[in-house]
Amino acid sequence: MRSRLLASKNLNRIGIAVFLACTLLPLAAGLGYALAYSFGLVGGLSSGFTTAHWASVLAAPETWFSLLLSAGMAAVVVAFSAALALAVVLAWGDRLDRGLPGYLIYLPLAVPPLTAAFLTFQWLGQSGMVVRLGVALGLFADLEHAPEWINDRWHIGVAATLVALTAPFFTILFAIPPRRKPAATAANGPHARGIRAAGRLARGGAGVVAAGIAQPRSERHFFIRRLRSAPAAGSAVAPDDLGADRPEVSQIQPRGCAASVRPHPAVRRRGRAGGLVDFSPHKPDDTRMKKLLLALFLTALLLPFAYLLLLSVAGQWRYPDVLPPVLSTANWRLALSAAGGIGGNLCLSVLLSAGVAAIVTVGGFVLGKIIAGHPGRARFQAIAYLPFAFSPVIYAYCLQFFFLKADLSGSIAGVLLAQVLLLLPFGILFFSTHWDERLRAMEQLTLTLGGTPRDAWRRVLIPVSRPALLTAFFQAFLLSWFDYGLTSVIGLGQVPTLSVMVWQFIGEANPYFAAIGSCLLVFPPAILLFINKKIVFRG
Amino acid sequence: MARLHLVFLLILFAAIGCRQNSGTAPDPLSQSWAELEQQARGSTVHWMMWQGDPLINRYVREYVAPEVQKRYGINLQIAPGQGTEIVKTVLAEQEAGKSTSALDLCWINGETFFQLRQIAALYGPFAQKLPNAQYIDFENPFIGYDFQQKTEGYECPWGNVQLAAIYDTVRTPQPPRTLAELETWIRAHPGKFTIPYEFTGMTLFKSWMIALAGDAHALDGVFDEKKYADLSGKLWNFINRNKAFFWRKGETFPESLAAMHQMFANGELDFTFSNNDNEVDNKILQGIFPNTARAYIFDSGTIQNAHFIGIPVRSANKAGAMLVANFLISPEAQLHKLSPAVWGDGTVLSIPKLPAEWQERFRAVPGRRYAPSRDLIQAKALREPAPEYMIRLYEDFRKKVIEQ
Repeated sequence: MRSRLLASKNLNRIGIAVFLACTLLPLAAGLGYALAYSFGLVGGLSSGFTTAHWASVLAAPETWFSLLLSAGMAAVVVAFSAALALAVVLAWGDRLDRGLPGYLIYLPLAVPPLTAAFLTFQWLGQSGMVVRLGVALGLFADLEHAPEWINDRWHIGVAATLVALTAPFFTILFAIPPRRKPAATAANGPHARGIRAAGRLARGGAGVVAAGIAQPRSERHFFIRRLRSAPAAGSAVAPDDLGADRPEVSQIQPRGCAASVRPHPAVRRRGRAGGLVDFSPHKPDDTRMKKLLLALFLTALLLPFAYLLLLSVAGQWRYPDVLPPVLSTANWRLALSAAGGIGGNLCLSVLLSAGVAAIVTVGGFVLGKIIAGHPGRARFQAIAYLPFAFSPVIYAYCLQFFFLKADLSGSIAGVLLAQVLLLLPFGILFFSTHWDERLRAMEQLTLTLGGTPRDAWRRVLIPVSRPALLTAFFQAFLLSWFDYGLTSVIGLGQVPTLSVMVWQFIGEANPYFAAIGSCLLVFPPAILLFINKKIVFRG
Repeated sequence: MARLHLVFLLILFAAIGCRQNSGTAPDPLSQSWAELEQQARGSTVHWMMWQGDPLINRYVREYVAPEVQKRYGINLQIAPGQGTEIVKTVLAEQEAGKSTSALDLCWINGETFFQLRQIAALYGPFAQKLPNAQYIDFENPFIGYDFQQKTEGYECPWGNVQLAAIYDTVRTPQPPRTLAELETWIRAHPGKFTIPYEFTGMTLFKSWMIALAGDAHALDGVFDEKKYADLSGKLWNFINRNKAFFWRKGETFPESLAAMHQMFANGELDFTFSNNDNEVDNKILQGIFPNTARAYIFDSGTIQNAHFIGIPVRSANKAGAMLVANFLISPEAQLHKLSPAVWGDGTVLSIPKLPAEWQERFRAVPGRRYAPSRDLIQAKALREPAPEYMIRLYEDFRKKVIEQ
């Protein structure tokens, strides 16, 4: 027993060392090098300590303009995205986890920023699809009279792209209720922080997708109803939202329970008093108009995918054609041929992302357990957040010196390691909230009942954690799959993943090949999303 | 305990930081060509090149790579990157103290050549050692010099191109041929003209500065601050007084030529530009431009220059890189590249220096269909000014036009 405890302590120490090696150390080293470089202390162009570079950057009006623009853009995008997401949740929230809508609502998260920007250019450019349709419908006389949305004074194109990327994240965030935990901890507790970390990682996108999917349906319903109004009589109510400490509430059976429960009077009072605004017209939801609007909304979600497919088989599709004059599979045949090379890029991306996701999932699961049970858990979690303060490309530039030193630049192994360093903290955060008291108690119970640690892992912990493991794997896969900046900096262009190739096709002014690359980039996550949803629900 | 962890980790990172490479390959300049061929067989050459054109990419992937594999057993790996990316990569490698570079070959122009030479990052002089260099006329100012700099064998010419404007004969039957005509045209067609804020746009500016000077040799020689101030002042004046009639009222400029090509193809712009006088042919063949598109040169002329192949001084496979470079300037590779259906890039070989059979084959290359012939535009070819002009133009265009 004593030797087992000792071994466990040693394992914990190794785990903490690995955690620090993967989070704090690269960050401190990279930042330290970048700071020293900026003060002229190191680097090939160094001529001794100087503050000239800092002075020059800080004195440049563009620096401050960029900062203001970024802050303003962020504020506008967040406000618009939140408003849009709120409207969607209020209008159709109770339908968004059923059948087809329940799948389609997550589809936008399968679109990476690179593809979103490409689509914005294709649609909102002055000779893009929106203007073509406008001209065809007689809304604009011609191209010269069409509005300017790309490279315009108000940066509408940029804002629209960012809203399209961020709004789905907010939609899912609003649809996720606090977990069945005391309400006070749910809002600021580790689980919520994990979700937020996932969201930040995904830059307003994929991070929360599976977390959202994994939420029990009744809980989401309850949250949506809370947004719309007080829960209706007879609805199933999750206990944590009412306060698990209330005996009258804690009696209620959660999720999937057939029992009809009358909500707590306080909730009804809140609803009536307008503490939460009652938007519900108290009419049957299935009005024809509402159905039509929902159908339109869902069609809009499918539009990017349909457009990419169409563009990929198009030829000579120029303004003012609303539809391509030529349809052929020649582009696909060329792209997938040995010379086109996209097939190889696809395989590389799949293997790289699967490798990264596997390491991040397993590493996050094991290290998350160690962190969750460590007395310094809060401090370690704070450390794990640090890499998220950087965009992947900045993080990559900070690390490049060390990767070059270690002969890892320009190699698949180097890119894999860099992505693991970036994503492992996410996995750790994800699982450090997963390893709650209940799970630890289950482990203890197994050991107390005579099971070995191996039995505990094999027969209890892993099966119980299966949905969370799949969720983490899927999220890590997606983040790795979409990465462009870090891969191109550390890979020195010699690790041609699919996202790197899509960027190249866009640069070639070859929209047809860019569409093919984009199709290959967005469809696998969309399919994975579908499979993942089924697995998680079944789990 | 936490301190112990940190000490352990710092030692680990320091160990990585102190790792040094050792390269002991003999200097290819002291070896015979046969030895180089033997040494490079079975090796890999990493080539960083601009990959902004599918035909160029196809030429390299489908013709050059299989050929060097077949002839020399070399595995040619292509990585995307140009200009500052190449400089950043080799500089970072220098700073990390690496003795071998991840790159063996890079496709560069005068500006990058200037920057790489400043940090002593190019290997050489290797160009004259290449057997096929015998067919190159290094005294030709458009071939043997790069942005007025003598290449001195530190880069090898690979192709020769001239800046051209591209228009659509349906939309613009009579394109402007002088700066004065262009000004009139821009004012009569608001929103249909712009300049790319990248390499091709800056090359256009250099051509216009020479036009404003009224002397084709005005910018010859080393960088002259006085000349630059005078001519760039005239240039900014020309642009600023007309920019209200530019695309997006001159408040913004496309940062990629690809985007500009697409806007031209869609009719959003009436002109686009290319640093390859023959690009109009290959863009029409790709179905990107309508077949009514044509290329032309302003009466005052445009910059003609060569683009080059360089070998980083820390390349781990200089022998392989030299074999590839030699193949790139071989008569067969140059002839293949000359065809508009393949790439349409001008040759750097001096036709009179070639064996008679090759002279015949070069003369029999199918002519351009949509671009003006080389013979016609050669008289309007201007030499590239010193690299500092380009560097200053980038900076001043932002300050004196975009931010005005």
